[in-house]
Amino acid sequence: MREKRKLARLLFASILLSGSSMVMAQTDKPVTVQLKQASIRELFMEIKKQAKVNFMYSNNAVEGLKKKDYDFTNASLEKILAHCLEGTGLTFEIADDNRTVVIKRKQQDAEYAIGAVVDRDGMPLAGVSIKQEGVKQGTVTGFGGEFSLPLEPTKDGKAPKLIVSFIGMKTQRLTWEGRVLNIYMEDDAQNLDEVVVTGYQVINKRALTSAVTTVKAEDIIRPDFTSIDQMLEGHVTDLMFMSNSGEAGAVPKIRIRGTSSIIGNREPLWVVDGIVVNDPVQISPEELNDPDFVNRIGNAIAGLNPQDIERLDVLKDASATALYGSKAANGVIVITTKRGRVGKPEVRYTNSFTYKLRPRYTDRSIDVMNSKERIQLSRGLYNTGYIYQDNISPVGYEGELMKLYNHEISYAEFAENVARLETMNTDWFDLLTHDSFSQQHTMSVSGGSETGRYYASIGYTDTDDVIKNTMNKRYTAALNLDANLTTWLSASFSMNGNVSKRRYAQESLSPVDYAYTANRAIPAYDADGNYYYYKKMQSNRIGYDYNILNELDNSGVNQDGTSLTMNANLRFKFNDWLSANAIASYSTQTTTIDSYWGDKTWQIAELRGSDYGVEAPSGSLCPQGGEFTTNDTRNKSWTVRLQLDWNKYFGDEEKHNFNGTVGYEVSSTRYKGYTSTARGYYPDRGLSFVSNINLTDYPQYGSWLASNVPYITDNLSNMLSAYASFTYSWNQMVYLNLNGRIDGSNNFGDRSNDKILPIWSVSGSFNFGQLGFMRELEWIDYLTVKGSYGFQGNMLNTESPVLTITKNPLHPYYNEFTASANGNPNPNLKWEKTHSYNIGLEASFFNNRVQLAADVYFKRTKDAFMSKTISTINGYSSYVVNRGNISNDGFNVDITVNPIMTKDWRWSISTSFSRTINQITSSPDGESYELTDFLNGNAVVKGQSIGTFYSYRFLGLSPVDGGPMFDDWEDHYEDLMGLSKYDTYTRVLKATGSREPTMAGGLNTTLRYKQFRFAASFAYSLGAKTRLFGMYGSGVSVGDLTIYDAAEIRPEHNMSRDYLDRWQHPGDEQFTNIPAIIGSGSTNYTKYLSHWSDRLIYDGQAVQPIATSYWDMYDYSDLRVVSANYLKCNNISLTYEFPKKLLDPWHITRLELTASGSNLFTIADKDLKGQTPTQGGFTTIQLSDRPSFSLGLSVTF
Amino acid sequence: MKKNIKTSILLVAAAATMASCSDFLEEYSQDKAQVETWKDLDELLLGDGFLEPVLFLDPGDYNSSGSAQTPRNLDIIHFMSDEIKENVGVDYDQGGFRTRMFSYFTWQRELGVDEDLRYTGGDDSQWNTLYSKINTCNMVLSLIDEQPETTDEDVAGKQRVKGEAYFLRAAYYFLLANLYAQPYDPQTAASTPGVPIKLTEYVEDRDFVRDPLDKVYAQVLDDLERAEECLTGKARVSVYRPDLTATILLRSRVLLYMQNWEEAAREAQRVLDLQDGLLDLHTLAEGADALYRDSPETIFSMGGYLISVAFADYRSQYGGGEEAGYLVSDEMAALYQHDDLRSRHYIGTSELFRQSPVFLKVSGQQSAWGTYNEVSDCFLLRTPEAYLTLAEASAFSGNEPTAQRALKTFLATRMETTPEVTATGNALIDLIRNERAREFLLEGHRWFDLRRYTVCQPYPWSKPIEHGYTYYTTVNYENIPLRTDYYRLETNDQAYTLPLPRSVIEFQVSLGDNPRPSRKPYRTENY
Repeated sequence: MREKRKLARLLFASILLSGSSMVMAQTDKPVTVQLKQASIRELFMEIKKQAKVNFMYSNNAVEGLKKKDYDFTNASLEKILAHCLEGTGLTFEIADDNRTVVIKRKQQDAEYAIGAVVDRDGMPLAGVSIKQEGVKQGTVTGFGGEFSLPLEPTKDGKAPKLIVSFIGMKTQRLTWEGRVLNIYMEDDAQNLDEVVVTGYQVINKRALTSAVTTVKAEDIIRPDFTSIDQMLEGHVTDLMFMSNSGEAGAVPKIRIRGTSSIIGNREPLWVVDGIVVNDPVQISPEELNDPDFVNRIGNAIAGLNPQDIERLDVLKDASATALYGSKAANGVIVITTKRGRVGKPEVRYTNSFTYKLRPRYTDRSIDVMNSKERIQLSRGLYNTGYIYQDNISPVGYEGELMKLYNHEISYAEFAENVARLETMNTDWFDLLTHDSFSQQHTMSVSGGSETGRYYASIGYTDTDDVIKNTMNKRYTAALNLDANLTTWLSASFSMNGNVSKRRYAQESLSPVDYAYTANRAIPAYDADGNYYYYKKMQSNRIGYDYNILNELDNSGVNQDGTSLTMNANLRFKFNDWLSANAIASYSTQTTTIDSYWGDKTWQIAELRGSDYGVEAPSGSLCPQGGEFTTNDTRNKSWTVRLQLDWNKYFGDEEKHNFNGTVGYEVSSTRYKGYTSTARGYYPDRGLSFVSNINLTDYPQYGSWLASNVPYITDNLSNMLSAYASFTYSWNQMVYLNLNGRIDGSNNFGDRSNDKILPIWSVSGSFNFGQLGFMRELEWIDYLTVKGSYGFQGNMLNTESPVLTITKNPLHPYYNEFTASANGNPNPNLKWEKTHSYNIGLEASFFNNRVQLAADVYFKRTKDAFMSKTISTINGYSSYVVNRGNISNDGFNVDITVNPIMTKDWRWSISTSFSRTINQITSSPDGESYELTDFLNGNAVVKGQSIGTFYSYRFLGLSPVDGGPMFDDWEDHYEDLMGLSKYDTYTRVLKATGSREPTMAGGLNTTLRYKQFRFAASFAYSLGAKTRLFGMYGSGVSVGDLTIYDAAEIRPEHNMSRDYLDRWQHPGDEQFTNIPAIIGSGSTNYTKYLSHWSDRLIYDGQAVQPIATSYWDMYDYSDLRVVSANYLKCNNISLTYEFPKKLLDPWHITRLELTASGSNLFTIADKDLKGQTPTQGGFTTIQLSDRPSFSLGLSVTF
Repeated sequence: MKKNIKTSILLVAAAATMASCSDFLEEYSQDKAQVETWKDLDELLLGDGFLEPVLFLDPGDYNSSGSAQTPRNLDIIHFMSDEIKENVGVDYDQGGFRTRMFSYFTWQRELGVDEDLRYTGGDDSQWNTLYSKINTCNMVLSLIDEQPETTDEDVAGKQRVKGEAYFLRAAYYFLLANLYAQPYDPQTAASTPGVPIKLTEYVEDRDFVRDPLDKVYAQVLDDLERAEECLTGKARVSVYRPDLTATILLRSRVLLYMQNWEEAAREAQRVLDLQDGLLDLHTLAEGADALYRDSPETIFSMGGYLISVAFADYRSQYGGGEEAGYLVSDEMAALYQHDDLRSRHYIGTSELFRQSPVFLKVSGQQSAWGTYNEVSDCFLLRTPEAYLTLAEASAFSGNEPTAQRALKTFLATRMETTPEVTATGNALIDLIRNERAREFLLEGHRWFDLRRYTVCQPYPWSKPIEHGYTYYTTVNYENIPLRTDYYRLETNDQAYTLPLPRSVIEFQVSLGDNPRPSRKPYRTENY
């Protein structure tokens, strides 16, 4: 409209100027013109004379036109004018009255720049601003991403330049060449990298002074996992990733920049959209820090659909985490969820189907005997006179022998049965695991206008694990709304909910461990196809019917969880440099974990004291039914935060900038838990409990009932905090930053309220790219160095300066209430202090073709809490003092290269490397750690890193009897007399490496060719050590009763194929390290079954127990320590994006198909003999990472 | 205008969050609390300060999770004296006494060893228990004065709790001194190492040394003095709380051990002035407990009577059974005369296998399992002690008529027919000493008495004690005796004093050990 008016004005001006030339016209009359070097005006005059037409034109339009020769005879008016206006940019029009010729600029058709804008996925982008350079007015793209911009002539006559910009995307400059434009917006890595989200602030990356790694969820997403934390391996520098079970939903252990706490929590803090999120069920730090603990319950973000996640920012140094206070000592991972974009509603559906392969006996990693080998071994043992214990299970070769001796079967039957057993080869892996099929679906809709945007999604995940009866289902829903209410007020609301259901086996069953260790000559089914049971011994020498399948059928753990989070965020804009933010968040989570044992199980038979179907004896602890344990945890938390932000430029050319944030935050978290165990449970009879047990018939059951009370926990944690962040910058070149936070809490006995110690940091950066000479170097995009120092204090809330007591129920003896001391006063405990230093470099070269980031850090924890043994004259034996020193140093490099960036080909490759050196620099108390802590890597040792485990020094096999020999100071035991546990074990045992890796990294690459995209992700981990699976396992004892010893060979157990190479005759020790089997028939049986340190007769002084048996020592010897280094192919995928042409008729904007493979291979030390490096021979064998194959589809309407 | 709206919205939001903050940072814990009133300290003292009561559990039930409920307190003192003997042939370790008591029963140099002389630990249990309870007393004493008092009840309650804490601390240091230091000899007490005294409520991470024995006793008397101040005029809450009577009786015992005869007699008389009731055994029903909570004799008790389980038979629910592991020693059984009612009420035959002599003062027989026992086997204060202390102290201080009178009054309730007490001099002392042995059978007096008699100035006395310990072997799933090793505690043996626990000395060599000979069997009987 406006353009038309302008044109009208122009025309009006021309009319005024040439108004006098109006006469009667004959435009169709032929004209003859012959002029030499005439101006156009002269031509018009000539035509006007002959044809009686008026010319209308503006003087400045014809100004400057060159003089020409005109030679026309009886030519038409049109022909002459066409010739004379050629190349002038002018055109003519004969008015309706047929006597006026209007001369005007050629503009109407050609002066619109038209085209469409899409994002990197080819999705149309609405609301993109398109401007012509030097012109104030512009336009925005419509819902389809289309635009049409009227162009103004350029002063210099060159082709006009267009500026295309959109918030959060890279601004582009294009030259209008008259072709329809298809603009591809770079909203990708480069641009997301422009900012860092810390949860409290959004900081421009160039202004960042601390160590933060950002990853985009879609770059790391994998179809075989359901939680984003499982996908982080190899993608974040300084993040060590440890997964000790490949079971569905198992939570990996994550360490950011080493381990800086000895007795506290070591896991990072999870933050979603600025709010700290809590685990659904509280798990103690001791349990979480145990390297053998498998967390099947899930962590704080287990309920978050990875498809709803936009990005993750991993805050690593003290400067980055200072605003979170002391709870961020292990680093913070900030998750930002997806929000709506301006544009037409966009519906997107994504799915993936995954096929996961189960373990098989043919796997290289499973090196156990088949039936024939196992029977052969038993036969060999029998022939050499091996004596079994009298409580063995009567199965396998030994079982048949027992029947033969008891005259139950004839020799012919015996031979026949044994022959049958030899070919039995029960496939336990097939029976207990299966190739599983899982699926994930997410449907989302997003869109919005300038005033309001929305994103909503629902997701469904159904993961069936390769372990049968283990599964994980999750339903998620998310809603994010953003509204610009007025120019000064905007608001965001979000809701996030999920319902999850998990099912897994009772912990004591461990199907995978069973498959590894069960004799394959034991049938699973009898001839009639029913379960085959054998008598398993435990507390009773009779033994009850056992079949692992029956156990699994009749027991299990069911976990149900629901969670809902609501956030509201109001933003007030006072003026262009000052704004305020009010955030409120509420979240509730409920988790119910029900575990049960049915009455048909062996577990219950043990309690009942009789096999299933046999009446319980009077001593029974569970006369009828099974056992049911329920654990309910409810977590409610809320956070309110008020924050003031300013960002002000001042001084000459506004070179100085001062920005900052001050805020205060109130948060509260409550956990309520209820646990109870009941017996007499009938899961298959209407989930009912038996109610009429006569307790006089079952006095022991009665006494169990009497002491069986439910257990309630109630844990409330309130926190009031104030925080501030100030940044000064000069000329976008020098940045100085100061962060700080103070907390007050209701933690019981927490003296942080009394002794205020703020968490603070200073940091700075210098952007070399802004220096004059650097700016001229075209190949450097930017180069920034930065440094930070941070101080953090930490306090233990279990230690109080005053006496705390626990109030007990009424005491039946006194008939009075009693209390007991809960914690002795510890008034002199000081803060545990961590000083952290970080120096970093970030650079980008060749137009972002090469990007480089590197950091070096030093973290020193002083006054770390450690327990100290004190004289028991004080009334107790230890208390917590500030005496630990821990250092964590490390460095990392992260390089991204984009070698090819053409229209059809795009290739990017990134690699990272992190090194962490962790060391305890103070010695712990002599009696703090037991032998098993040293063997399993839980002990803290001066000069060693956390996770260091110790092993026995293997010398070789005895040439006499083939038993293992160790350098265990037996010949000079007197040197060990009177030493503390710490001194003894650090001397006799050998430090054989750490269970935590010291180096880790990844290699990720993406290659696009037209519609194809190929991506591969590899991760490696170096420096960790592990043990081979134990040859002997450990003995079993119940209470004081030893059921069996480690070295015992039991018919129900399978054995490693290594046994085939065992020592059998003197001289074999030259060739093998596998000890002989020394049974109770051998004279040396007892010698190997215990240890000299245990037998040493005390005479004034003694030594600490060094081992329980020589067999145990063998399993825990340095011989069986191997490197756990590995390079793993995390994921390889190939995506095909359908061309637009094909999709348009279906109104589909985008369609992608992806095929991928996960965990395809792992390269590890060959000494592992195929054992997966993440599986250790420390305790129960867990499921290894399973290879899987997936197909996925993503469609957008 | 617009700006005002903005500001007011912010202010309202800020005020809304602030308003709810008043209680926000108040410390919260589900089950932890700070001490806020004297009643909290009263409960704390009851829960942690006293020796714990014992629930008789079924010792055959190793599956039971209740084993934590059987604090052993000081049951070791019964196994070192001449009161019990092993029931040869019974390897069944009812109540775990056989295993746990081997080293005490045979007076080993090292107390943490098992029957194969392997060190298994546990020798620090009494030491740690007593010091842990002393720590509770120290805490209570340091906090009691600052507790608010608004009513008369508060004032009185605080006094009582304070008095009880002083009483307990005195009792524990007295027990420690009698376990870990040489018997109190007035001549040498100043140079005899006692036990370390710690009276502060905070951790002292220092090298402790043993205070001289006279200082330890002085500390005990001082605490009792304060306890008396606090408890004077306070009514007895129950027999499980020490009152003035208990305080005076304990002081009379301390003075008796110090051979301060005059004062011991005076204090014993003061006790009798307050409470002189005696249980007439003529009236006691056959099989009934002779010691019980509401007996007219009972003044104060803490801990349980777990020792009586050692004399009980066990019959399994699956049939079969086990005999009692211990019997009352022959020499102790011989002390009871025919007309002594205690020969029926204090010792007798076991419930199921009819073995004798077993201990019956408080029944530990299987039928009593699952219940609490009402009084203690190691810290029971009752009136007979006052009579016998009065008698002994009077006899030593030359006031024999008082001694004879006190004995006669007492014996009237113990014998079928009241005997005339005419003995004098050492014969009277012997009578009193035997009377103590009879009356206080397995109440925790005997070991301490045997100790103090060795240094008794006017009339020292000691006797050798012999204990046999039987080893078993398995033949055809049946445990049969292999041999019995006999150990002997010589007269005035150094082993009357326990060695300091190994862990304690290892941790702090500055404490120094007690000299104690290593002990080999002096004879062995093979089967």
